[in-house]
Amino acid sequence: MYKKVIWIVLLVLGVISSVVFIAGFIISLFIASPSRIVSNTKIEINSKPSSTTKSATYNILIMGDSLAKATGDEKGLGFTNDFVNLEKLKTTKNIKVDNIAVNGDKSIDLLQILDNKASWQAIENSEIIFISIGGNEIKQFESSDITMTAVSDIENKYIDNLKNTYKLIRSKNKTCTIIFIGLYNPFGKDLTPDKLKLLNTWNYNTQEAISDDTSSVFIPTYDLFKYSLQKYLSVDNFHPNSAGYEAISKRVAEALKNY
Amino acid sequence: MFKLIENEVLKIVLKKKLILIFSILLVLITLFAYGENYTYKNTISRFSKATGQTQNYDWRLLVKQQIIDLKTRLNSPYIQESSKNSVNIQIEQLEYYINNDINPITPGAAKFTVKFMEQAVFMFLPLLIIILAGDSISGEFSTKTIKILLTRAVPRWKVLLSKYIALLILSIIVILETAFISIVVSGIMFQHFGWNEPIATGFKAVAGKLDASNVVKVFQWQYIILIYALGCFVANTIATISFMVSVLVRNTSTSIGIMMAALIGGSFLQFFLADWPLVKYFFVTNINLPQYLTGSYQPISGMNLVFSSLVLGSWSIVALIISFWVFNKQDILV
Repeated sequence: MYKKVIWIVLLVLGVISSVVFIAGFIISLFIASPSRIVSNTKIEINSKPSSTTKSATYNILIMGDSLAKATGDEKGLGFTNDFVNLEKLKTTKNIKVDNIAVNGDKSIDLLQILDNKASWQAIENSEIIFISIGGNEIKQFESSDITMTAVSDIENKYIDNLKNTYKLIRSKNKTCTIIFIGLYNPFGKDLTPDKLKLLNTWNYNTQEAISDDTSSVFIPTYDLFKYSLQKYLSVDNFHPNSAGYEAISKRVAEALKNY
Repeated sequence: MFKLIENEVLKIVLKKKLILIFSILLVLITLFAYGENYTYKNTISRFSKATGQTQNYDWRLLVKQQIIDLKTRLNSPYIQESSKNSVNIQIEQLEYYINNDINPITPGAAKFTVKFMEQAVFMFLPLLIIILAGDSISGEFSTKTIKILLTRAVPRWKVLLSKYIALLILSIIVILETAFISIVVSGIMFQHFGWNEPIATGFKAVAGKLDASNVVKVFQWQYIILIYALGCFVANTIATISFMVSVLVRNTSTSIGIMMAALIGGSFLQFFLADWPLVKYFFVTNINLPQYLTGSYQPISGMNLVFSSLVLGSWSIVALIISFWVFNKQDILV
């Protein structure tokens, strides 16, 4: 009797599950087969952000690297926050912030992102454009075995890309204000003096490159972070934390107070 | 015939093999689940220490940030049309977590069950099946019971077929056992099941690159069935091959030894896969079927689920033909 029960239980379980497993196997084959039709997928492609006309909203465009992306900010506000609040008091229009920054981008990647119709439209509609770029390039300088020729090579390319970025923006929008966020030193005392000099030269050259543009301003951050690394850096010891972003944000707002 | 199968199934069950497999699974799964839970707790304590939050770190902010990142990526002109689907599914997945208050870092029973099969399928599961199948014929020789079996008034092929069917039934039972123990143990351990969490599947390799255009969303419970169905197919293949070996070899330990050598040697062979195309047709290189459904899959040119299933299927058929042919011709001298 006992044996009979075991046998029947096993048989029933075996038959039921083999039916289920065969079905599962066939479905798996369908999912993984190359010629599957995508029609049964429940996917909605998000539409592109609707392009609003220039008069309706006050558009702010943020582009560049992870810093522009507000990486490391626990509150996710980024460095434009104070300025946005300031501008809210001044304008009756709705403020719309578009962020097209991508983590890890270098100047060449930014240029590639801008070389696109959707980006052009965003640029055309913007009143103010924030750029933060170059941090991922200068990150490479921290390694000790980089040659001076490599450094100047990277820097020249960067300046070229930056100038082309400006040219591209200006070809789409002649009047908007461009705010460039300078680089700080996230490595503190770990950075040797000669490398520190590279950073400062980098900032100086950047400032010089964009000084041709009359409605652009360079916001230095080097001094802000110099003595406040402990307080302003996030867990990864590279990106600012929310206090760091707030400090940059205050500075941006200060610079644009009477804008 | 039916009676014969019943007899064979009961023979294996009464050898207490299922209980042996059950206890092996229970011990291992408990260890794994404990380990997973431990790592998770460790991660949380490290995270809260690093961020300075003493308790109840807010994972929602983290997930929200991830969603924003993904959405920007969607809007970025950089993205290819083909990868939009998978990004959308990821966003959907993360939004589901937030809306339903599920912490995605928390391990769930469903997730664990899938993970266990994904890891077990290329070594541990075949091992269990070999325990089950290794002595199905050779055991009869070892204990000299083959004489009694064959002096009955049934043709030889019927005896063999009933043994084979019994083996298939029991290997399905092993798969069920694995699923059952994983779900129960990890359910107790994690206190969280997560059957309805969405998961993305359907990544595939096209020309050496990962193509995400055909990604579909399924629920965890559906995904478990898919993965375990593949595991079941693998188990049946291994069972068939070791069945053949046990027909060919008249000694149980030799038969188990041959299967183990093939299994372990086969996994070494995979290292030479890129240089030696013939390795693709060996059954051990193809038994990792669930990898074709997961997103973390490293594509190998010319190998996909259909290919691997065909290879495994052909091995099974050839093994069956050989076993029946040999068993019918063989002189049984005891």
